[in-house]
Amino acid sequence: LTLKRFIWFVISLAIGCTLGLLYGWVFNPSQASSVDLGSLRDDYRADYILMVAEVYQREQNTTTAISRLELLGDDTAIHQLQFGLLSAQKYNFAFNDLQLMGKLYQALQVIPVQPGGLP
Amino acid sequence: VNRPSFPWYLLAGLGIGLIAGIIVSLLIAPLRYTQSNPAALAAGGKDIYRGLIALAYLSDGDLGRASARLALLQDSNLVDALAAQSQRVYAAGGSVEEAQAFSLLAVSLYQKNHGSPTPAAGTPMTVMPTAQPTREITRAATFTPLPTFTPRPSPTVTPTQGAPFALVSRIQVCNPDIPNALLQVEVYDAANTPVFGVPLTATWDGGSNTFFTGLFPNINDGYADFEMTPDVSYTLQAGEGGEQVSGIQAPLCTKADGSNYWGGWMLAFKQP
Repeated sequence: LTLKRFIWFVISLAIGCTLGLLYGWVFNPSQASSVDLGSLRDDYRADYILMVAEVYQREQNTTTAISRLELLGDDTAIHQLQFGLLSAQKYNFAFNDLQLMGKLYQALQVIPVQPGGLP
Repeated sequence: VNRPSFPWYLLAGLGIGLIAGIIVSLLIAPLRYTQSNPAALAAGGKDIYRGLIALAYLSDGDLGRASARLALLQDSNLVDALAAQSQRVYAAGGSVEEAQAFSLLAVSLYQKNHGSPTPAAGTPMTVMPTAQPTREITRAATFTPLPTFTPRPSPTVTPTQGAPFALVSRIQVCNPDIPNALLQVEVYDAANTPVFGVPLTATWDGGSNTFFTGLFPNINDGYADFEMTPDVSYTLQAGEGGEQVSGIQAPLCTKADGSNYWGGWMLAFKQP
Protein backbone atom coordinates (compact mmCIF):
# COMPACT_ATOMS: atom_id res chain seq x y z
CA LEU A 1 0.00 0.00 0.00
CA THR A 2 2.82 2.39 0.84
CA LEU A 3 4.56 1.83 -2.51
CA LYS A 4 1.29 2.38 -4.33
CA ARG A 5 0.79 5.65 -2.47
CA PHE A 6 4.33 6.73 -3.26
CA ILE A 7 3.83 6.08 -6.97
CA TRP A 8 0.64 8.13 -6.99
CA PHE A 9 2.39 10.86 -5.03
CA VAL A 10 5.11 11.03 -7.69
CA ILE A 11 2.52 11.10 -10.46
CA SER A 12 0.62 13.96 -8.81
CA LEU A 13 3.93 15.75 -8.25
CA ALA A 14 4.70 15.44 -11.96
CA ILE A 15 1.24 16.68 -12.94
CA GLY A 16 1.58 19.69 -10.59
CA CYS A 17 5.03 20.46 -11.94
CA THR A 18 3.77 20.32 -15.51
CA LEU A 19 0.91 22.67 -14.71
CA GLY A 20 3.32 25.09 -13.01
CA LEU A 21 5.66 25.06 -16.00
CA LEU A 22 2.77 25.59 -18.39
CA TYR A 23 1.65 28.55 -16.29
CA GLY A 24 5.06 30.22 -16.34
CA TRP A 25 6.09 29.41 -19.89
CA VAL A 26 2.83 29.47 -21.80
CA PHE A 27 0.00 31.22 -20.02
CA ASN A 28 1.75 33.91 -17.99
CA PRO A 29 5.40 34.43 -18.93
CA SER A 30 7.18 36.73 -16.48
CA GLN A 31 8.39 40.23 -17.28
CA ALA A 32 11.85 38.75 -17.67
CA SER A 33 10.46 36.77 -20.57
CA SER A 34 9.31 39.83 -22.50
CA VAL A 35 10.88 40.24 -25.89
CA ASP A 36 13.81 42.58 -25.37
CA LEU A 37 16.46 43.98 -27.66
CA GLY A 38 18.79 41.12 -26.81
CA SER A 39 16.44 38.70 -28.55
CA LEU A 40 16.70 40.41 -31.96
CA ARG A 41 17.65 38.28 -34.94
CA ASP A 42 21.25 38.73 -36.09
CA ASP A 43 20.50 41.00 -39.04
CA TYR A 44 18.21 43.25 -36.99
CA ARG A 45 20.79 43.31 -34.23
CA ALA A 46 23.45 44.37 -36.72
CA ASP A 47 21.19 47.15 -37.98
CA TYR A 48 20.59 48.30 -34.39
CA ILE A 49 24.36 48.46 -33.91
CA LEU A 50 24.66 50.38 -37.17
CA MET A 51 22.15 52.92 -35.85
CA VAL A 52 24.24 53.30 -32.70
CA ALA A 53 27.25 53.96 -34.92
CA GLU A 54 25.31 56.48 -37.02
CA VAL A 55 24.22 58.37 -33.93
CA TYR A 56 27.74 58.20 -32.52
CA GLN A 57 29.05 59.82 -35.68
CA ARG A 58 27.04 62.92 -34.84
CA GLU A 59 27.15 62.87 -31.04
CA GLN A 60 30.74 61.64 -30.58
CA ASN A 61 29.70 60.37 -27.17
CA THR A 62 31.21 56.98 -26.40
CA THR A 63 29.46 56.68 -23.03
CA THR A 64 26.03 56.92 -24.63
CA ALA A 65 27.05 54.56 -27.41
CA ILE A 66 28.25 52.00 -24.87
CA SER A 67 25.02 52.20 -22.88
CA ARG A 68 23.01 51.70 -26.08
CA LEU A 69 25.08 48.71 -27.09
CA GLU A 70 24.76 47.18 -23.66
CA LEU A 71 20.99 47.13 -24.08
CA LEU A 72 21.56 44.24 -26.46
CA GLY A 73 22.42 41.85 -23.67
CA ASP A 74 24.84 40.92 -20.96
CA ASP A 75 27.89 40.94 -23.21
CA THR A 76 30.23 43.94 -23.21
CA ALA A 77 29.64 46.78 -25.64
CA ILE A 78 32.79 46.06 -27.61
CA HIS A 79 31.85 42.42 -28.00
CA GLN A 80 28.39 43.41 -29.16
CA LEU A 81 30.03 45.68 -31.70
CA GLN A 82 32.38 42.94 -32.89
CA PHE A 83 29.43 40.63 -33.31
CA GLY A 84 27.57 43.38 -35.19
CA LEU A 85 30.50 43.92 -37.54
CA LEU A 86 30.69 40.23 -38.36
CA SER A 87 26.95 40.07 -38.97
CA ALA A 88 27.05 43.22 -41.08
CA GLN A 89 29.70 41.65 -43.30
CA LYS A 90 27.72 38.43 -43.49
CA TYR A 91 24.57 40.30 -44.55
CA ASN A 92 26.45 42.46 -47.08
CA PHE A 93 25.95 45.84 -45.43
CA ALA A 94 27.23 48.75 -47.50
CA PHE A 95 30.87 49.66 -47.20
CA ASN A 96 30.03 53.07 -45.70
CA ASP A 97 27.97 51.39 -43.00
CA LEU A 98 30.82 49.05 -42.15
CA GLN A 99 33.11 52.07 -41.96
CA LEU A 100 30.79 53.77 -39.49
CA MET A 101 30.75 50.72 -37.29
CA GLY A 102 34.50 50.45 -37.61
CA LYS A 103 34.95 54.02 -36.43
CA LEU A 104 32.84 53.33 -33.37
CA TYR A 105 34.87 50.19 -32.75
CA GLN A 106 38.07 52.21 -32.88
CA ALA A 107 36.62 54.77 -30.50
CA LEU A 108 35.67 52.09 -28.00
CA GLN A 109 39.08 50.49 -28.21
CA VAL A 110 40.89 53.64 -27.13
CA ILE A 111 38.84 53.92 -23.94
CA PRO A 112 41.06 52.94 -21.02
CA VAL A 113 40.21 49.53 -19.63
CA GLN A 114 38.27 49.85 -16.41
CA PRO A 115 38.88 47.60 -13.44
CA GLY A 116 35.71 45.74 -14.40
CA GLY A 117 37.11 44.83 -17.82
CA LEU A 118 36.53 46.10 -21.31
CA PRO A 119 33.65 48.48 -21.92
CA VAL B 1 -17.42 1.21 9.16
CA ASN B 2 -13.93 1.61 7.70
CA ARG B 3 -14.21 4.75 5.48
CA PRO B 4 -11.28 5.39 3.11
CA SER B 5 -9.23 8.42 4.22
CA PHE B 6 -8.92 11.49 1.95
CA PRO B 7 -5.85 11.12 -0.32
CA TRP B 8 -3.93 14.05 1.09
CA TYR B 9 -0.72 12.71 -0.40
CA LEU B 10 -2.12 13.32 -3.89
CA LEU B 11 -3.06 16.89 -3.02
CA ALA B 12 0.34 17.45 -1.43
CA GLY B 13 2.13 16.08 -4.50
CA LEU B 14 0.07 18.25 -6.82
CA GLY B 15 0.68 21.38 -4.71
CA ILE B 16 4.42 20.83 -4.32
CA GLY B 17 4.76 20.10 -8.03
CA LEU B 18 2.75 23.19 -8.96
CA ILE B 19 4.86 25.48 -6.78
CA ALA B 20 8.10 23.95 -8.05
CA GLY B 21 6.94 24.33 -11.66
CA ILE B 22 6.01 27.97 -11.18
CA ILE B 23 9.32 28.77 -9.48
CA VAL B 24 11.27 27.11 -12.28
CA SER B 25 9.28 28.69 -15.10
CA LEU B 26 9.17 32.21 -13.69
CA LEU B 27 12.40 32.56 -11.71
CA ILE B 28 14.97 29.90 -12.46
CA ALA B 29 14.47 29.34 -16.17
CA PRO B 30 12.09 31.98 -17.51
CA LEU B 31 11.10 31.78 -21.13
CA ARG B 32 13.69 33.35 -23.44
CA TYR B 33 12.83 34.55 -26.90
CA THR B 34 15.42 34.48 -29.65
CA GLN B 35 15.52 35.43 -33.31
CA SER B 36 12.84 38.08 -32.80
CA ASN B 37 12.00 40.83 -35.20
CA PRO B 38 11.56 44.43 -34.02
CA ALA B 39 7.77 44.18 -34.26
CA ALA B 40 7.79 41.53 -31.53
CA LEU B 41 9.66 43.72 -29.05
CA ALA B 42 7.97 44.76 -25.84
CA ALA B 43 6.76 48.36 -25.68
CA GLY B 44 9.91 49.57 -23.94
CA GLY B 45 12.16 47.91 -26.50
CA LYS B 46 10.13 49.37 -29.32
CA ASP B 47 10.49 52.84 -27.83
CA ILE B 48 14.26 52.45 -27.64
CA TYR B 49 14.41 51.12 -31.19
CA ARG B 50 12.17 53.93 -32.48
CA GLY B 51 14.26 56.49 -30.63
CA LEU B 52 17.43 55.23 -32.22
CA ILE B 53 15.82 55.36 -35.66
CA ALA B 54 14.90 59.02 -35.12
CA LEU B 55 18.37 59.91 -33.85
CA ALA B 56 20.01 58.04 -36.72
CA TYR B 57 17.82 60.02 -39.09
CA LEU B 58 19.14 63.21 -37.51
CA SER B 59 22.62 61.94 -38.28
CA ASP B 60 22.29 60.73 -41.85
CA GLY B 61 19.12 62.42 -43.11
CA ASP B 62 18.23 59.25 -44.99
CA LEU B 63 14.45 59.19 -44.90
CA GLY B 64 14.18 56.02 -46.99
CA ARG B 65 16.28 54.12 -44.52
CA ALA B 66 14.41 55.58 -41.54
CA SER B 67 11.07 54.63 -43.16
CA ALA B 68 12.24 51.08 -43.80
CA ARG B 69 13.41 50.75 -40.24
CA LEU B 70 10.19 52.14 -38.82
CA ALA B 71 8.20 49.74 -40.98
CA LEU B 72 9.86 46.88 -39.12
CA LEU B 73 8.07 47.98 -35.96
CA GLN B 74 4.71 47.55 -37.72
CA ASP B 75 3.10 50.53 -36.00
CA SER B 76 -0.39 51.11 -37.34
CA ASN B 77 0.42 54.78 -37.92
CA LEU B 78 4.09 55.72 -38.08
CA VAL B 79 3.56 59.46 -37.77
CA ASP B 80 1.24 59.12 -34.79
CA ALA B 81 3.62 56.73 -33.06
CA LEU B 82 6.51 59.16 -33.52
CA ALA B 83 4.49 62.15 -32.41
CA ALA B 84 3.24 60.32 -29.34
CA GLN B 85 6.72 59.22 -28.36
CA SER B 86 8.01 62.73 -28.92
CA GLN B 87 5.48 64.02 -26.44
CA ARG B 88 6.22 61.23 -23.98
CA VAL B 89 9.93 61.99 -24.10
CA TYR B 90 9.37 65.68 -23.58
CA ALA B 91 6.77 65.20 -20.86
CA ALA B 92 9.11 62.83 -19.01
CA GLY B 93 11.80 65.50 -19.01
CA GLY B 94 13.88 63.61 -21.55
CA SER B 95 16.29 65.01 -24.06
CA VAL B 96 14.81 67.88 -26.05
CA GLU B 97 17.00 66.84 -28.96
CA GLU B 98 15.50 63.37 -28.93
CA ALA B 99 11.97 64.75 -28.72
CA GLN B 100 12.70 67.02 -31.64
CA ALA B 101 14.25 64.14 -33.57
CA PHE B 102 10.91 62.36 -33.32
CA SER B 103 9.06 65.45 -34.44
CA LEU B 104 11.40 66.02 -37.35
CA LEU B 105 11.07 62.45 -38.55
CA ALA B 106 7.29 62.55 -38.11
CA VAL B 107 7.04 65.70 -40.19
CA SER B 108 9.37 64.34 -42.85
CA LEU B 109 7.35 61.14 -43.10
CA TYR B 110 4.13 63.08 -43.27
CA GLN B 111 5.51 65.17 -46.10
CA LYS B 112 6.78 62.08 -47.87
CA ASN B 113 3.46 60.27 -47.55
CA HIS B 114 1.39 63.24 -48.63
CA GLY B 115 3.73 64.60 -51.27
CA SER B 116 3.48 68.34 -51.66
CA PRO B 117 0.10 68.90 -50.14
CA THR B 118 -2.23 71.34 -51.70
CA PRO B 119 -4.53 72.47 -48.96
CA ALA B 120 -8.16 71.71 -49.37
CA ALA B 121 -10.35 74.53 -50.45
CA GLY B 122 -10.47 77.02 -47.65
CA THR B 123 -13.09 76.20 -45.14
CA PRO B 124 -15.01 79.30 -44.24
CA MET B 125 -14.33 80.04 -40.65
CA THR B 126 -16.14 82.48 -38.47
CA VAL B 127 -13.66 84.27 -36.31
CA MET B 128 -14.82 86.40 -33.48
CA PRO B 129 -12.11 88.63 -32.09
CA THR B 130 -12.99 89.27 -28.52
CA ALA B 131 -14.09 92.85 -28.84
CA GLN B 132 -14.90 93.07 -32.50
CA PRO B 133 -17.86 92.14 -34.63
CA THR B 134 -17.87 88.77 -36.37
CA ARG B 135 -15.96 88.69 -39.61
CA GLU B 136 -15.38 86.08 -42.24
CA ILE B 137 -11.95 84.80 -43.16
CA THR B 138 -10.92 81.67 -44.94
CA ARG B 139 -8.76 79.11 -43.31
CA ALA B 140 -6.77 78.95 -46.52
CA ALA B 141 -5.24 82.23 -45.53
CA THR B 142 -3.14 80.46 -42.93
CA PHE B 143 -2.19 77.53 -45.15
CA THR B 144 1.26 77.66 -46.67
CA PRO B 145 1.67 75.02 -49.36
CA LEU B 146 5.06 73.41 -49.00
CA PRO B 147 7.36 72.87 -51.92
CA THR B 148 7.99 69.32 -53.07
CA PHE B 149 9.59 67.49 -50.22
CA THR B 150 13.31 67.01 -50.38
CA PRO B 151 15.01 64.82 -47.80
CA ARG B 152 16.97 66.98 -45.44
CA PRO B 153 20.57 65.86 -45.62
CA SER B 154 21.73 67.35 -42.38
CA PRO B 155 18.75 68.35 -40.31
CA THR B 156 19.58 71.02 -37.81
CA VAL B 157 17.02 71.27 -35.09
CA THR B 158 17.44 74.60 -33.47
CA PRO B 159 13.96 76.03 -33.67
CA THR B 160 13.79 77.53 -30.24
CA GLN B 161 16.93 79.58 -30.41
CA GLY B 162 16.58 83.30 -30.07
CA ALA B 163 14.26 85.42 -28.00
CA PRO B 164 11.34 83.83 -26.17
CA PHE B 165 8.05 83.66 -28.03
CA ALA B 166 5.43 86.22 -27.11
CA LEU B 167 1.71 86.22 -27.77
CA VAL B 168 0.75 88.47 -30.68
CA SER B 169 -2.87 87.50 -31.23
CA ARG B 170 -5.60 85.63 -29.46
CA ILE B 171 -8.75 85.02 -31.45
CA GLN B 172 -11.88 83.23 -30.41
CA VAL B 173 -12.96 80.77 -33.10
CA CYS B 174 -16.60 79.79 -33.54
CA ASN B 175 -16.75 77.40 -36.45
CA PRO B 176 -18.89 74.27 -36.22
CA ASP B 177 -16.95 72.72 -39.11
CA ILE B 178 -13.77 72.20 -37.08
CA PRO B 179 -13.45 69.93 -34.05
CA ASN B 180 -14.98 71.24 -30.90
CA ALA B 181 -12.87 72.98 -28.26
CA LEU B 182 -9.79 73.08 -30.49
CA LEU B 183 -6.88 75.22 -29.37
CA GLN B 184 -4.93 76.16 -32.49
CA VAL B 185 -1.49 77.68 -32.21
CA GLU B 186 0.87 79.16 -34.73
CA VAL B 187 4.45 80.07 -33.92
CA TYR B 188 6.60 82.43 -35.98
CA ASP B 189 10.12 83.68 -35.69
CA ALA B 190 11.11 87.33 -35.86
CA ALA B 191 11.06 87.16 -39.67
CA ASN B 192 7.47 85.87 -39.64
CA THR B 193 8.55 82.42 -40.76
CA PRO B 194 6.62 79.53 -39.19
CA VAL B 195 8.85 77.71 -36.73
CA PHE B 196 8.92 73.93 -36.71
CA GLY B 197 9.41 71.78 -33.62
CA VAL B 198 8.57 74.30 -30.92
CA PRO B 199 7.30 72.59 -27.76
CA LEU B 200 3.98 74.00 -26.58
CA THR B 201 3.10 73.24 -23.00
CA ALA B 202 -0.51 73.36 -21.93
CA THR B 203 -1.05 73.17 -18.21
CA TRP B 204 -4.26 72.99 -16.28
CA ASP B 205 -5.33 72.26 -12.76
CA GLY B 206 -3.97 68.79 -12.17
CA GLY B 207 -2.16 68.11 -15.41
CA SER B 208 -0.09 69.22 -18.36
CA ASN B 209 0.61 68.17 -21.92
CA THR B 210 3.36 69.09 -24.34
CA PHE B 211 2.79 69.09 -28.07
CA PHE B 212 4.91 70.33 -30.95
CA THR B 213 4.53 72.57 -33.93
CA GLY B 214 5.20 71.07 -37.31
CA LEU B 215 3.08 67.92 -37.26
CA PHE B 216 0.58 69.48 -39.66
CA PRO B 217 2.77 70.60 -42.55
CA ASN B 218 -0.29 70.82 -44.77
CA ILE B 219 -1.22 73.86 -42.69
CA ASN B 220 2.23 75.22 -41.94
CA ASP B 221 5.42 74.28 -40.17
CA GLY B 222 4.58 76.46 -37.18
CA TYR B 223 1.10 75.09 -36.58
CA ALA B 224 -0.06 72.81 -33.79
CA ASP B 225 -3.36 72.16 -32.14
CA PHE B 226 -4.69 70.69 -28.96
CA GLU B 227 -8.16 69.53 -28.02
CA MET B 228 -9.32 71.21 -24.84
CA THR B 229 -11.74 69.78 -22.34
CA PRO B 230 -14.70 72.12 -21.94
CA ASP B 231 -14.89 73.95 -18.61
CA VAL B 232 -11.16 73.50 -18.01
CA SER B 233 -8.95 76.58 -17.94
CA TYR B 234 -5.54 76.20 -19.59
CA THR B 235 -2.28 78.07 -19.51
CA LEU B 236 -0.16 77.82 -22.63
CA GLN B 237 3.54 78.49 -23.08
CA ALA B 238 5.38 78.42 -26.39
CA GLY B 239 8.99 77.24 -26.18
CA GLU B 240 11.20 77.47 -23.17
CA GLY B 241 10.88 80.76 -21.35
CA GLY B 242 8.11 81.97 -23.64
CA GLU B 243 5.17 84.08 -22.54
CA GLN B 244 2.58 82.18 -20.54
CA VAL B 245 -0.98 82.77 -21.68
CA SER B 246 -3.50 81.88 -19.03
CA GLY B 247 -7.27 81.64 -18.85
CA ILE B 248 -7.73 79.76 -22.11
CA GLN B 249 -11.08 78.04 -21.97
CA ALA B 250 -13.32 76.66 -24.69
CA PRO B 251 -16.01 79.25 -25.41
CA LEU B 252 -19.64 78.30 -25.86
CA CYS B 253 -20.76 79.20 -29.37
CA THR B 254 -24.17 79.15 -30.98
CA LYS B 255 -25.06 77.79 -34.40
CA ALA B 256 -27.49 79.48 -36.74
CA ASP B 257 -30.21 77.10 -35.61
CA GLY B 258 -29.74 78.18 -32.02
CA SER B 259 -27.97 75.06 -30.78
CA ASN B 260 -24.78 75.42 -28.78
CA TYR B 261 -21.35 73.89 -29.32
CA TRP B 262 -17.83 74.38 -27.97
CA GLY B 263 -15.69 76.78 -29.92
CA GLY B 264 -11.95 77.18 -29.78
CA TRP B 265 -9.10 79.67 -29.85
CA MET B 266 -6.45 80.61 -32.35
CA LEU B 267 -3.28 81.90 -30.71
CA ALA B 268 -0.23 83.21 -32.51
CA PHE B 269 3.20 83.55 -30.94
CA LYS B 270 6.13 85.36 -32.39
CA GLN B 271 9.70 86.15 -31.47
CA PRO B 272 10.17 89.86 -31.01
